[in-house]
Amino acid sequence: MCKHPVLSLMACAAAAWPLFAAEKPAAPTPAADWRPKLSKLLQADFPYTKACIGASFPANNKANKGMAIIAGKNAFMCFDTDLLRWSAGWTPGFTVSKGQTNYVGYINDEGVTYNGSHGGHPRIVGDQRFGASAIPGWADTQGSFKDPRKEPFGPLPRSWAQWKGDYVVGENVVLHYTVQGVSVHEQPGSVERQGQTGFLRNIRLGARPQPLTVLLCEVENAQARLEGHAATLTAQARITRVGTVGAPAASRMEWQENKRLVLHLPAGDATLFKIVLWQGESTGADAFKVLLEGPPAMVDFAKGGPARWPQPVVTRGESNTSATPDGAYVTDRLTAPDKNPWNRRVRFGGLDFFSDGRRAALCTWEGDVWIVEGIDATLENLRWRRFASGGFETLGLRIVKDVIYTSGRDQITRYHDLNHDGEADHYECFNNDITSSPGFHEFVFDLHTDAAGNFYTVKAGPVRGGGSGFGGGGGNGDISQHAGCVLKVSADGSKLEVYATGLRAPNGMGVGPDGQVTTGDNEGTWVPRCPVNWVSPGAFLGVESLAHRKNPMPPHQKPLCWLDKSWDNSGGGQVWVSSKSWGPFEGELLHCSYGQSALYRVLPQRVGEQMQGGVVKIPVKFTSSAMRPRFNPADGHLYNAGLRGWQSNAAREAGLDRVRYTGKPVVTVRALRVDRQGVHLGFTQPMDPSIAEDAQNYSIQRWNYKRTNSYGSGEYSVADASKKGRDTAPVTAAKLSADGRTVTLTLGGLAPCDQQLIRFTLKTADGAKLQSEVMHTIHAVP
Amino acid sequence: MRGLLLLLWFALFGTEVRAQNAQASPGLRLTWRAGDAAHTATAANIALYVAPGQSATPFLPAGPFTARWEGSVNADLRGDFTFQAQGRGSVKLELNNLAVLDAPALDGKITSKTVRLNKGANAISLTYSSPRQGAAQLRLLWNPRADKPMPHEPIRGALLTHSAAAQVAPSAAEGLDLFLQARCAKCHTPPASAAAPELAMDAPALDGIGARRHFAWLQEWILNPHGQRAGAKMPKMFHGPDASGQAEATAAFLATLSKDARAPAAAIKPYAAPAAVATAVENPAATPEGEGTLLHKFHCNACHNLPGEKPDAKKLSLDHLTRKFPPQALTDFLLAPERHYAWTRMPNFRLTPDEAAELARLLVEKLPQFKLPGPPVDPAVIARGKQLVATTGCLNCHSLTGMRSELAAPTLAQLAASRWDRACLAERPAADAKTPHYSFTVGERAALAAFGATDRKAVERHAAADSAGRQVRRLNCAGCHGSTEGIPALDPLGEKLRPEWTRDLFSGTLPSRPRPWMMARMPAFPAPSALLAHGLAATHGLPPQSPATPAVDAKVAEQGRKLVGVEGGFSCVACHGVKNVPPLQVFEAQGVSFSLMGARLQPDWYVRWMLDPLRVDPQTRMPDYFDEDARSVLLDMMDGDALRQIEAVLQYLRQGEKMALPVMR
Repeated sequence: MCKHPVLSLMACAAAAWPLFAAEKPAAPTPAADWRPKLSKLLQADFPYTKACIGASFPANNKANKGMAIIAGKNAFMCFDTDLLRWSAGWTPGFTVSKGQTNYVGYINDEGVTYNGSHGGHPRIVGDQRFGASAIPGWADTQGSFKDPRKEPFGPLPRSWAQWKGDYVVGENVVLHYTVQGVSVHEQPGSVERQGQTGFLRNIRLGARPQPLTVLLCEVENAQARLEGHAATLTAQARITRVGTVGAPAASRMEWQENKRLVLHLPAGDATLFKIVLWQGESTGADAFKVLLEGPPAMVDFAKGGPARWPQPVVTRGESNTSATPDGAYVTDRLTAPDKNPWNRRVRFGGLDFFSDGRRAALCTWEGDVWIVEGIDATLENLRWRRFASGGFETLGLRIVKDVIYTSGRDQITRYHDLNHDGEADHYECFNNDITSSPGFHEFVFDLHTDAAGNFYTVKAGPVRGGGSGFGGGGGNGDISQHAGCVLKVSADGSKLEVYATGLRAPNGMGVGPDGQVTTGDNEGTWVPRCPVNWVSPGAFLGVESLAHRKNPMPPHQKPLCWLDKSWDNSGGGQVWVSSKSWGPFEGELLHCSYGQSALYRVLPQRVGEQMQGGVVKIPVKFTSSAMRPRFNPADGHLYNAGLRGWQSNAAREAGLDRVRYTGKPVVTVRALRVDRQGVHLGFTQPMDPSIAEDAQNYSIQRWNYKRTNSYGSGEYSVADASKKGRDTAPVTAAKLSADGRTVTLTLGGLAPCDQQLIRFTLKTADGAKLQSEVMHTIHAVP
Repeated sequence: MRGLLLLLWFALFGTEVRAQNAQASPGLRLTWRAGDAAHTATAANIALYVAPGQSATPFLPAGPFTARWEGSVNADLRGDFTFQAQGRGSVKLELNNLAVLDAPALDGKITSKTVRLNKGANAISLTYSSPRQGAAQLRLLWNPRADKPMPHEPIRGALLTHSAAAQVAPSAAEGLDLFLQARCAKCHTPPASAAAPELAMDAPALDGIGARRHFAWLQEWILNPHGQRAGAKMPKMFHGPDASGQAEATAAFLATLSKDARAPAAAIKPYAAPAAVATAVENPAATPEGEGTLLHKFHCNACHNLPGEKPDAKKLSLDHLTRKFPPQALTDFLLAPERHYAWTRMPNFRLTPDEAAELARLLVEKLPQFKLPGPPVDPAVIARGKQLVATTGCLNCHSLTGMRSELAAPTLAQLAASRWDRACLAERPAADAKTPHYSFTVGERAALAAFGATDRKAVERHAAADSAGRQVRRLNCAGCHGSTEGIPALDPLGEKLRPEWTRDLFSGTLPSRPRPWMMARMPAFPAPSALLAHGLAATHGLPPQSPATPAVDAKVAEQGRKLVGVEGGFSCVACHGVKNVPPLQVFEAQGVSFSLMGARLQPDWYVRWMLDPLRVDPQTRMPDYFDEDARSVLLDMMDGDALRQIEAVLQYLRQGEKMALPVMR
């Protein structure tokens, strides 16, 4: 469905261009510019945009990990980093609206990241000139282009080819990959002469012990004429001409299967050559030889390019924006650079600190990386610099040895600032083994490392538009190999493995100091409520559609706890308190609710191999959602970055806040333990026994859920599974320990239940009021 | 009404109540008094609305009355509460035997000081006296967090209980219900001034019946309605050895009535077919909404045993459809069930012709196709049937153009109380009985007798809440509401929805559905529409007409428009559409279009909903933007004051179709 009146014409009807021929003015003149009509959600001043990119031909042409590249003034090319193919090349087109001709080009802003639509992704806008179906861009050792993958997602086998990343230099981009171990650098571009546009592929090929074959383009049912280093493909009124310049003398083109033009390159030394593609009507065909003029060329990418965003965006933070009732924790706001000279939308998806603790890097859902400096006590002078752009929905960021890594839908990217001008020049592909289908909901959330340096991220399932079920094709995507999995990538990036399966949409995770992996999740199909998952290697976390194992379905690793909707309707990330100066909670686990923009302390209890427990809220407020909590190693405070991109009560599209411990006594629940004696609630302060030992001051409700393929779950009586609703558990006694810090509640019918809510109104021995709640799960009563 | 809603409450909250107090029964004991007369009932909440000239209960005359609620209010946790009485009249509230509110002439609202309630049961009693003039109105609300600036809210029904010993036996009320449902008053006529709205309840018109029903089925039905449907209100009329012949003759005559020359009533228009999820999905077929066929999607199984499913004795069988309906007649019936029977329990689903045809196909596809005998054509048989229709009393309930009933029965007043166990109410009819037989159970007969023993003036009185309650039970509203996932519980709807809007919803005149993307739909019940709308409101102490509101404040509404938009607002438009513009990115649950809300929602409910949606509906996916201190997450508008922001959005919503679009990208 095309919603945008102008772009939709292009996107939906691109295949039917000839229908509009009568209205078509002359080809875009040099003065015509597509940029003014480009959606403000996209950028024309960075060489590429990574997304799933749809093209008009061949049929069903989608680059799941596409790089839509601006290849000159009036040309665009899309590179598929999974298959290392050029899926499409196109030139700007036009629309006529109210008698006015508008030149349009590049891609449209369809998709959840851009115009917010569910079930779509960007498509090319303009007049497609060449394309290739979803087959490898280079042949294997046998010369075959047959897709070797088990499913049509994820990269080619490394032995075949490997994507290495790209370099940006001014308006140019140089792609780097290997084919059968041979290094390939490739710079796309275009040439305009005599009113015609030629697409360029400048290729620097390393020394080749064996011949290689590269895919040039596909034209269905064309008449092919091959002459030396050039080919002419005629299909109806359209002519495609392809030539090479500087290619090894023994290279030759071949027309395969009546649709595919390939170039065979003999074994040999390193070489630089170019491929020129042109497509148009016969009247322009003669210009092709002019388009071939000039030697192959490649920018010097090794030293980086000039800074493109040199000016910082300066913001001023705010202190004490909220506080807990005991005054022990307050929040400070680090004002986001959402007003910036480039009109870039800022929605934070990842956060980490450099070793100095005065600087942090944040990635955005839009694919940018920002670096903020000036993180100090006052936050008065926060200087934000754009560091990188173009990423594919980067929603996780980790800094290792002061080098930034992000997780996106296509890969983990490692960024290098080659010329130390404060901007990334080399976007190195650290690992791109992850699978990605066209599904709009295949977010790749968060990025962590363990003590050994291994990376962890978590990929959502392809939830369908509307929220129920998974996959099914089209814009809803498919259940690919890594859908709904926690993924572990070795410290050197060489290996990716599935660590756990069966998650729906966990917007965040955590890795503890001992390597313990945790995730949240989002209520939905097979997820009765948001859990806090304590994840063992190999675990299946409950979403049967995404178990990736069947016959039998593996046992469900139960979460540490479930959380009712009002506590968490969409989980965020977790963090372990690594700070000694953040109150009395060092070594404990914190959990964020994205949907409720809330921060919780996790109260774990180990019963044999199973973790259980619950959470208590740290009632502070955030500028946006609670999503990416991180401790700053320098000041010991907690920071949280969040966005508002889908359902949440977050106030703003982006927020970065600090949760600072003030040194005041903390009045809250310290611990939770369940055993046959009852529920033991520990407190951070001695409690007033006259109040704490009055059972009237406690209220307990409990209920169960049903984990089914329906969306979420109702609440069911623990006492009678056939009845809906909650049970009230009678609290028959409350006994305070000798040190006044633990109360033991005796309650009738204490038994395993999915959810138990304990509410209480107490006072500390010093008279401070503590009105709070604990939400927890009892798997076993030891 | 109260007793009926109690059933719903119990179904919803039963486990909770049971665990809290094994001896407690749901609801409060309610004693009405007017002059020397008294009537007791069980009440699900403390609320009433009695329009001038109407009765508070059918068992008391119109005019001044008092009402006293007694029982327990059960607090979840010891805490400080405040109570608020709203309405007109005299109110005295006691909690744990201490006076909390004492307002001899309430006209508006009054809020108590903070009251400490114990965890568990707290004795509550409220005595209300109607005002000298005008409507009697009362709502008792509470705020369970007296230290927080939150609006007072209704006390959830599950939290009100009374001791089992004090439970009242509502047999006379049940008897009244049966008396009205069985259309007893069609023969035993009450005084002309009788005002119970259900006296208007009709039976299927006989005009054209011969074209709408197979003769064979008519014959079977007339001979023994209860053999086909245990709970049928159609009585068995023929009892003697010639019953079969009488039924055959009657059916033969009816079979000749193939024309209906009456002017058709205004047709209820079909709803538009369900819309796809309102976002750009390349493959909408991959996002099915609901499982199963239309029969399941419309929840036909709430009332009916669907073909091929395990039968439930409480539901109506559909096994006889091919014997009952000629093929097109079933489709026509589904399109307009009320066409020949205004008070039919079968609602109008506002189907498109395609939907009706599909439903009819699904209903009959698994049923055997009978070769049914045609009606006798012997004129003598037909003449006998005609005579039976005229004399047996058929036409006391059923209308037929050009014919009148020749049966005269004693008036209601003439029926001696001591004889309410014979004739129509005999356990079994004598072979020569001329009276109808209803197959009432022992309990039903006792209830009717209990009603007969009263002064029977209950049928002469209009008590809106009670009438609506009877209809709610008769129409099996709880078959869907409160028992089906995705369909709201019935109880809160009376205080959520404006009665003008619910009346249009029930009557089938609402131009569009509030949730057109759902397959399930609320059908129309045109005949009792006003009765239901007014009664549901009255049950919550709300008037049948919404009070006039001042004109929309354009400046404030403009701020509301900003608040719902993407730029600097809550981005409500992610899930809520506006006029004909769909929401931006519906996920998990689409919200009702903004342009429909102003006419739909009661303002008090709206405020509570906005402040804390999960408190109102624990299953909702509506986010919560305001904290318990009534502070907004958006601090830079209206000082972050939740109530001001919520009011601004309300001003915007009240513009309906005239509202300007908010920023939607």
